[in-house]
Amino acid sequence: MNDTIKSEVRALREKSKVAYVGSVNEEGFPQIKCMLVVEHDSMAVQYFSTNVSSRRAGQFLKNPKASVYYCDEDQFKGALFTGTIEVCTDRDTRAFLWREGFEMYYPAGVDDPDYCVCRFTAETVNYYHSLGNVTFPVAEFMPEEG
Amino acid sequence: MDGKFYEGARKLYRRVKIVFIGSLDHDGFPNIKAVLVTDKKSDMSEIIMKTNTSSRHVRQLMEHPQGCLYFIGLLGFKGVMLRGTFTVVEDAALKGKYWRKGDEKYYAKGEADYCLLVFTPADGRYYHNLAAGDFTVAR
Repeated sequence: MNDTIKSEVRALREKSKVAYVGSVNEEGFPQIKCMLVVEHDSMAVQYFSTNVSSRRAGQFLKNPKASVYYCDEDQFKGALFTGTIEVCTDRDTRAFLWREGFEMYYPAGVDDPDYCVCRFTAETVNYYHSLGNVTFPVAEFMPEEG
Repeated sequence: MDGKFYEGARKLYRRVKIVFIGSLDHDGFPNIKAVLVTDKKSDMSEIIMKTNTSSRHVRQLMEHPQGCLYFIGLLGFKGVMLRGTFTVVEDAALKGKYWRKGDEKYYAKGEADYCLLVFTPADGRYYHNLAAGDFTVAR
């Protein structure tokens, strides 16, 4: 994929405060939820926090297929990352993502049994801007980030 | 039907201009696309959107018509997810009703690549800060 498109995807993701996360429910229907963008490792990995008791966490435990969508509605730009989500409850990952203010959602702190981390790993990305539309493997971002 | 959640959802719905379509791709992965609302019934029982017939989400919704529509409030603290069925409409008369001057820009191939997506919700879920609740959509 050419560098202009890759930098547009990167810029869109960097400026997004929220992402739309897609999951599949027990009946096989797609679901969407807006989630706060907190942290990422690379273009392929995005983290979200959620409640262990939430529907979404339950859905990802049964079916890890997921998507993460960043968009700029005003400019008709969007990037849809498709991959899988792992629900992490280990202390290291939970401590890594913990932020001041999370107590509002998880009153018992990092060790709140209802706090977990969704680690999304993308395989492909579809990017559109105006009438252009391309899909490419996320691995194509990797050499730049070595 | 839980009236409180339905009414909360209706308030957001009244102002909604952009919705996110949730569909399933051929391999079972959820897909998401933002689209503009073209027309909607005030009781939330039908939402109409214009799109390209050749688009990915149309192809996916033809294969799996069950999907969802999601929209949020201005600050993102409130959201609604409607679950239901999409119908791809290619009826010339109905399409003509919604065609507007300037649409040629989006549908360069003209009518051949222009269709309507009609979404009929069965039920929904309303989110407001930490609270969430389900409701059904009456017909």
